Amino acid sequence: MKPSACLLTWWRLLFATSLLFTTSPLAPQIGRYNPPSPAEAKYSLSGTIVNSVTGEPVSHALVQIDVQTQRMVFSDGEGHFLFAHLPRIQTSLNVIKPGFIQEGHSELGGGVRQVMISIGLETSPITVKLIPEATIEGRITDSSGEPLDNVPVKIFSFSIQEGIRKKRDFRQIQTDEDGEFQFSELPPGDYIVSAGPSWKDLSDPFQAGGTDRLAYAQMFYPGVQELADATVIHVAAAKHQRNDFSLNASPSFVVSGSVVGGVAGRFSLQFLNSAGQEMSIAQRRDGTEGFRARLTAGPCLLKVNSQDDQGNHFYGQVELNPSRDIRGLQIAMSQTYIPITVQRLELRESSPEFRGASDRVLNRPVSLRLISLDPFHPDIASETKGGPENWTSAITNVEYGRYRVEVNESDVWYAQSILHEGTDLRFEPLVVGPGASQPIDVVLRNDSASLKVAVVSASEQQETAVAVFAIAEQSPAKPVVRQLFSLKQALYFSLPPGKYSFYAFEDLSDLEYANPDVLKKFSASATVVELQTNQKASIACTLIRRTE
Amino acid sequence: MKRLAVIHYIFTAVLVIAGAATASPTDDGFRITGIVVNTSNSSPVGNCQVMISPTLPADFNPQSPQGVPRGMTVTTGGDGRFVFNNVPIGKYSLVARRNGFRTQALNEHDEFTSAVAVGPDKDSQNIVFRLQPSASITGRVEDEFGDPVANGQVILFHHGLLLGKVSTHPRASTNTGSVGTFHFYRLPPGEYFVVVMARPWYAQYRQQVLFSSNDQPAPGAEEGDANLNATFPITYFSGALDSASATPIKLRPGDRFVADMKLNSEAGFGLSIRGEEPNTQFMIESRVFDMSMFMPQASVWIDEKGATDFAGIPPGRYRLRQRTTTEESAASERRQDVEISPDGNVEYRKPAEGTSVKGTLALEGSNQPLHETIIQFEERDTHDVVQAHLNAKGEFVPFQLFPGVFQYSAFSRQGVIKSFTATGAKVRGGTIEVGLSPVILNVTMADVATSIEGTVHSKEGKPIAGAMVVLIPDDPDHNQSIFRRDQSDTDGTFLLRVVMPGKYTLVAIQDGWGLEWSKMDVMRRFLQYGETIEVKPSQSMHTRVKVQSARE
Repeated sequence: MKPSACLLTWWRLLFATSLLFTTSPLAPQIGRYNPPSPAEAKYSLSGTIVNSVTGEPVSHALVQIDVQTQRMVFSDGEGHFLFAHLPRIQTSLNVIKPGFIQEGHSELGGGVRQVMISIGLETSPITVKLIPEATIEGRITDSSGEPLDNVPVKIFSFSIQEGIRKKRDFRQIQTDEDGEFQFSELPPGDYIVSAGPSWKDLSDPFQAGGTDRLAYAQMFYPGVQELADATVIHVAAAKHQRNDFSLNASPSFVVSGSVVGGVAGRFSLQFLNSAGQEMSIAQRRDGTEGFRARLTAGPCLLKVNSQDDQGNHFYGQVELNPSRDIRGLQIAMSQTYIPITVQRLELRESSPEFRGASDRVLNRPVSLRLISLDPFHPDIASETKGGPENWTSAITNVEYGRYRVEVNESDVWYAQSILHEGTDLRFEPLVVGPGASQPIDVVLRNDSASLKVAVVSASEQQETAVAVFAIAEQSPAKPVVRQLFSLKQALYFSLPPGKYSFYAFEDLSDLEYANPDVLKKFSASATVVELQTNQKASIACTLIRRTE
Repeated sequence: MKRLAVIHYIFTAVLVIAGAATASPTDDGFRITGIVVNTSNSSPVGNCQVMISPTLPADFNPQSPQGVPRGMTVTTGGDGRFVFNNVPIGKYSLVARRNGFRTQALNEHDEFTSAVAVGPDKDSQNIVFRLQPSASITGRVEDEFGDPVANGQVILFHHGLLLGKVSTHPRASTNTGSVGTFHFYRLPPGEYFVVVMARPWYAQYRQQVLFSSNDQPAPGAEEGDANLNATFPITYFSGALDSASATPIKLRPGDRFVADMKLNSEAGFGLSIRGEEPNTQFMIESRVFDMSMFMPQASVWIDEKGATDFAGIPPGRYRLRQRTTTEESAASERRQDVEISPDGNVEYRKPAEGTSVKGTLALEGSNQPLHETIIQFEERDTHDVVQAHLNAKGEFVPFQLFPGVFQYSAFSRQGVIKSFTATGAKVRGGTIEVGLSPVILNVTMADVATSIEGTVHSKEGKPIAGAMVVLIPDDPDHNQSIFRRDQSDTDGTFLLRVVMPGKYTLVAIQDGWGLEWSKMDVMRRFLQYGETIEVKPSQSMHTRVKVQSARE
């Protein structure tokens, strides 16, 4: 094999794996095959659909496979299904049945782990487990036990994204006239439930002359104000969990004022509670700059956004904790703009494999990602304008707050330093406030180590997907992940010098791999390597099997 | 008094000063007092919000020292009693709200209520506010395999009075949730029917597959593969397949009726329509009780060439409606009855073509064209409604009506219909009979409507509250749209608005809210003791009418 051909494969592999990771945690590619001639369609696939909890067969479930066209059959009274006249093919299998989730499919997990089946002479009957869905229901009452109707009830679930367990808004409903709520079709897992806010009466919230208007502030089950104090409700498959709780009426307050510095008449207000969720509250505009809102007691963050015709954003925020009406509040908006400078240090040792690559990327700007360290602000990516001769990069439209800064580079380049107003953002958070800011100076170098990782498995099954990630000793919360669909191939990493632990798993979709505490129990199976600049190395990594 | 259309509007417009009545030390206003009782057991209703708000904007005085800006709310104590102090002279609507009850206006009938008159010699105290506990119908819909039927359309029909006639008419509609459940809350007592139109979950899945893959109509299936082209017939509680066999649900106040239903799937069939003009839309309607309902089970595909395919239609009789719009001429309409037999045979009946209608509409005494004016035609038997719009020149945008008898009426801020003539059709009173020949209308509007104020009194001359006041036009059968009604307030007064000039008989009936007031065989016995009235254009009237009892 000529070196140039090898180089091409190398780069394509790296690119393909990193791209796959950003779009979908693990989505096996299903090959499109040429239609077989009828003579080839002589195989069959049979199996049984069972309830994962009771083991009982599930009848009248729709089983679907993809063989040039979609084929669908129902399971019979014993849960059996049969597809006849199939070609030799590898296909994915999906099962649909109301009230069940197919094992491996999750509304929450983000990734779908499809069952892959090779159809051929030796295909044996398969068993597909369906997980019965769970329910959380309950009744919202006031402190006297009177049921409260039309109260918004929210349920939050947890999902693992990029190895981090995150809470997310899942669904919202309203209590019925008996104060009852029900969340059905829940995958088994952990949930948090909140109720409120709700107004005790339905009168005009801004009518002048009223006395303290009572309201039910948002509360988390079992009746606490702070998300941190909420009880996590664990529901097992097929369980119908009941969680009643009551809300206390408390005074509410009018907050009124005006915004300055944005585009007159064009602004939006967002009120976030201490958990960072937008509160549904009554608000009204007064003229082009004035506003009124009625808030329940407790801390909240008021965010103001405005945008002009050129797409320039203006932002302002103020923290509130009303214990009486607040009038004459002034919120100043400003534009945030942090320029980025990039310096690239060409330090890669001359090598036939890499020469072309480093030349190609030299003129490129850098992309930074700001990850909010609080629940109030979204993450943001830097913007780049111009062309190869005059790149300008900057962070614009970022809300005031604290952020972790990451350099998004998918190849040999890594950050030597990310300096901003005297601090290195590789280790310290970026604090964004109103007004102009000093630039962020990024220094990149390309003398990263190159590592080829082969995954070894105790099992004979080589057609399994695999994900390998590297954890640097100095930054354990930022694993570098590579994925493949077969153990027959190797994975390639470019890493800054340092000490790394490598872990290999079949599937990462439900693993908190960015959490050092979770990884601890697998540390004995990790492969540890210390890498130097420009080093080229090969290691073997054992596939870790997680037992249920 | 005709109450505000939506009670919640009253709530949003009312200021709550619970317990703030003591804010004014002077006690120079009047009082509204009373008790809220549960109609089911006559026990007092505590913790109930009672709101008053002036019925006329003129009664609203923000500077009023007595302090009733727009209204007030009080909450009843455990004894169900409410007291509003320092109420200025005027008329007030009274609304009560409490969880577990329907939000109601005082002495509510249809869209009417009795306002409370406040002032010297007015009795605004010791009002008994009868509050009906809320009734509900909930249920779970499942298929023959016990799986929930999600996303099904559930229609609640009410059997009772509508526009003065007893009919079975839709009252509410909802969709089943993901676990197949549906809820109808806050229902007044009465007789109801529940109807479900849905498709099985796997048929919905098939639809998704088809839409996403652009495959048409079905993927190449092998023998033994699932047939997903199934549907549910229109199913009436408690499982009937025709409206005559439907089980009525009789709700009393506070009833919680559970209407679980099981649907049995059957083969769904398709209709393919080819060779029509471009820009032609089709709809499939089915009769549900006395109503034409759009079929939500039928899914429709229209390709670029205008070919239309319906799928998932259960066997039965339908009406296929077709509407073609072209830039040059008026929309043309056609309707055709279709019968699909249980084995999938489709039989088309002779189609009916719409008759074209055009003409002019003018405002009397003005050469300016009318704006935002709509003339509505309602088919007398089917209640199908067609709305005619105007162009900038004051001409009707040409439209079509199928042969039949229609009641016409106008929606306009500029006036009411003063004259309505037609060539090619027969006009009688407020109706027009359209045949096969084209129709040219000539309509004149004028600002001639007026109002009638009056008092209902007993034989002894005492004012009567809560009576139904009906203004019955001459030739009532052809003038259904100009009937007017009201309910007398606590001082016996009433107000009929937008009354058209003409000859009428005015009657006031006690305990007559269940009467089919638009039917002359029902109302004839009241006519002879009514007041005959001739309403002149733009001349408001005052009158007195003697109450009659519906109980004979």
